[in-house]
Amino acid sequence: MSDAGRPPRWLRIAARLVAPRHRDDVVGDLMEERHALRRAGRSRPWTMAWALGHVLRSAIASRTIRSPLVPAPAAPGRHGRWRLDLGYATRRLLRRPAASLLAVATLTVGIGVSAGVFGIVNGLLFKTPPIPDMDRVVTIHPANRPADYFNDAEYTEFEQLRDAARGMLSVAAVGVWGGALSGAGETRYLGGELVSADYFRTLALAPAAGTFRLFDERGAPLRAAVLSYALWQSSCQADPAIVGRTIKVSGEPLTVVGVAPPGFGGILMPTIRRADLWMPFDVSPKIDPWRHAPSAPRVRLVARLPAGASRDAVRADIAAAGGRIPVDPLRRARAASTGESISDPFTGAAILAISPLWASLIPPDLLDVGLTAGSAFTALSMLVLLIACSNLANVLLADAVGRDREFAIRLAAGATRGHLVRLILIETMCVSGVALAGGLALATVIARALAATALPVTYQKLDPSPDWRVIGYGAIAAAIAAVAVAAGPAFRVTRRAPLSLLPSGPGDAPPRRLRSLLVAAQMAACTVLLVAAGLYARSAVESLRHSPGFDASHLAMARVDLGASGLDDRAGRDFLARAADAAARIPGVRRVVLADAFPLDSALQKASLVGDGGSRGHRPQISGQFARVSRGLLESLRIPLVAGRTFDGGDLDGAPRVAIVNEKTAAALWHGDEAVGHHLALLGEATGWREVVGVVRDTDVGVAGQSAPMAFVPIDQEPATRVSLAVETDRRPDDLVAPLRRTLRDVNPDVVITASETVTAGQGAATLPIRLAAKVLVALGALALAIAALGLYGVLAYTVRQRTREIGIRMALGASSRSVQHLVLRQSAAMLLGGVLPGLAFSFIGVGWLRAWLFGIGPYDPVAFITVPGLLAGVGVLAALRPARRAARVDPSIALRDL
Amino acid sequence: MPRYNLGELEQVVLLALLRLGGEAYGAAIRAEIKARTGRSVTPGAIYPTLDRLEGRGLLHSRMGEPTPERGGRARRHVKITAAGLREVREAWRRTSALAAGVLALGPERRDV
Repeated sequence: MSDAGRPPRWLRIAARLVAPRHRDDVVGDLMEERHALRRAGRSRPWTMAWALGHVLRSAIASRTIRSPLVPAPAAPGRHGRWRLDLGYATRRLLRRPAASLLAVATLTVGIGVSAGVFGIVNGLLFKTPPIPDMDRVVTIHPANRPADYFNDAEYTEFEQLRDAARGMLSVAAVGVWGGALSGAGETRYLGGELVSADYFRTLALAPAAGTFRLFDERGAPLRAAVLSYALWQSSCQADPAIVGRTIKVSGEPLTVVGVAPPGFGGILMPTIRRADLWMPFDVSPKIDPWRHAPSAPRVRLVARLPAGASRDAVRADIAAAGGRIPVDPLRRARAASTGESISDPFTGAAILAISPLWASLIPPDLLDVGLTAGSAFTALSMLVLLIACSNLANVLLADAVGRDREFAIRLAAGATRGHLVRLILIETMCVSGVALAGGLALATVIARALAATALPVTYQKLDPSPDWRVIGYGAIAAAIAAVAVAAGPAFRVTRRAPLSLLPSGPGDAPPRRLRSLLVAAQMAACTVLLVAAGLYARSAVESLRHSPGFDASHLAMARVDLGASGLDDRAGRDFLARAADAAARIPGVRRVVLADAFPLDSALQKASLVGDGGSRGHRPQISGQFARVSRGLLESLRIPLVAGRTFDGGDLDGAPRVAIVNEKTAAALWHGDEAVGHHLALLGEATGWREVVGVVRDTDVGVAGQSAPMAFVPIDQEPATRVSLAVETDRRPDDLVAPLRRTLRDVNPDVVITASETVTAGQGAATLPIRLAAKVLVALGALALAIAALGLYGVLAYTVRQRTREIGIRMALGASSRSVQHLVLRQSAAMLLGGVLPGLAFSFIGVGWLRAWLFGIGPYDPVAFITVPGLLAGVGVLAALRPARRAARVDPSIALRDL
Repeated sequence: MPRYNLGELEQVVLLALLRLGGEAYGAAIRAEIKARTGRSVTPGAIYPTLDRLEGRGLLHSRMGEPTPERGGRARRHVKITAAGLREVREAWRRTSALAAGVLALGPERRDV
């Protein structure tokens, strides 16, 4: 009974002759019958001979009797072999869970970080609204410049164009709107779009609830609104009964007629500024006040091309029918207001252009900045993936040396090299497949975290869920990683003869040079990342230390939107006066001031500044910015007066118009002439000349660290709809933020407060991108450093193990433990140097890319370029410490025992 | 009209299976053939035949538990299907129709 458990060896060997598919059945039958024969008294040799005879007959029969109707799986087919290999790879990975987990984790981090950063870039720049047949939706714009956000045409031009194109193309217009909404959840400030009758039909959208009926049959606007799906979900809990209900927009009651489809946020920079509300043009004088005024806000034009029609043909048809968009009539209007003649080669030209909408969802200048920053950050995040890959390649290479025997046997047993390569590839693909799933999850977490910090350029929370672009990016990254990681071992297997793969004692050298090269590559990538992180960290520190030329540290403010609150000019002035009185009574308040923008606000208005008194009637003109401010604001901001006076109580509405300029403006317009007494016009403002009464010191304007020509005008003479009410105090301004907000609410509960913070916090937004970039890059750099240090340590520890015998011989011949330690440290230093030097060179070349967003330091900042190699040297020593100590502790008598 | 005629070995295997009550495993079929006809069919011939019959839907098979007696191999149990029964009847009808009056079945045995 000794052979009951397992077929005897001779039978197993002989049975190999039988077709594999039937081998087990045949052996089982023969075993069973042989037992019966033995019990029946047959001798052992007889049964052996009997069984062998049957095996031979079975071998012939099983290989000759074909079963044509059953696909012969005698040898695993192409498909089956993949399955076998997959099973083998999985079992092998599961057999060493710790090592596999480390590999998966490394790659997960690499893919996750890279896909996460790409996800943000994708979310900001590439996501398109869910519009059917998006490639047929186009914008119509003046031919002399690219389609631009919401700035393509006058409203009246839209009406003319729409009529000219009637029958050929339905043209819709959309204008930007922002205001307060109450009646659907809490009162809030949100963005929306004013649209023409054909808007939703042109985009071919279907409502998620209700209808899109914003106009009646005769084309007159209804007092109606469409809500975004997101707003419907968040404020109304997706209640279908919202349709037909009344909401209040800027104090006007409107009926909700429908809900837009999920994911649709309008077509005016939808990834950055989501629209939550759609209303018809002209819906009410309070919501859309200037629609028929000469200064009506410009609109964007969209149309849907008929299937198969080319843009050129449609453009020619419309032009032939008299459709036109005159170029920049605004500039002509501005020129007329100052009596200037501005030569414009395009004036009056009857031309228009048609471009695809998807290409102009984001204004070109913003797209430019976004693409450069996005590609720089994506490239830097790819370095983390690169480091992770080369680390993993290193581990696998070491592993491949240990598998030499296995591969040699496989080759000897008839496996082809292609088969071995496939085996290695399947293993790495298993790892990268799992890492891809984990990486996408991690990418979502990273994107969510970054989106939660409210990216400074957006008014909308980014949608962090990965779309097909992010998944595709991750999948490609994972596939490339799998191939790259498999390349080392595969190369080793294919290059060498089977016998040379059999370990043959101490002469068999592991591929140390390749492994060192991989570590050096990691160090190089790490250097680039750390230099970038260092530059941004320095910029962040500099931006915090930098003085913008004014001091807002004692100011708290609340920003109100009077237009959105439904207050007209007079009611607005009245509210501001009462609010200022009430705010002055808050304990601790020394002074109350008003401004429509502070010098570092992005809300600062751009204008062309025109000066009088040039030679021979020439009027110098520069582009600059201006702010409407109240009396006392310049003093509160501690902006020193250089000449003339500041605004006083006499600079009221109706009094002679005045302005104060900064030194840059004075120098540019009047070239060292005394500026006070000259006259200034702001193009874009229709109010003509004003006298310069004072000159103030330059401050940063618009962008931290950069000054620019700027003018201040009295807010009483130039009313604004969005106004910041600031209070100056001796106490901590943070303590006054809440009381100020309460006070304004008490004065008028319906006024929309869009921001409420200290002025310093608001002005800090200008440098927020730098600080955010610094945080992200420092995190990336730390991660890269950790992975690279791990890789360095791994290689050093491995070589020390490999060289134990060599070290033993050295020590037996008289080497001191110190010199052995130096041996290891030297190896570490060589790998470091081999990586850091090229890394520094790459950084030197690459920093130009980052130059635009550095603050206060040059791209070749010596501090960053010196600190980083120092840091890496420290890490190199740390990583070498343990292997070096282990090398020093090698006992020659033990190391040499197995010789 | 069947498109495919049962082969001789197929017919033998199916008949042996029927003799065993329509349900049996490989070694038992061989033993039955041997006992009834004296013909020793090698296992290497039985199993491809079973495969082929199964592929045509004439029988089902399932694997049993591995037993130490069989050296840790499992028994393969097969069971004739209704189609199998129909097929073997038809084959027998044709064979007997041709043989009727031509041959007198004697007691002599014939080995393969």
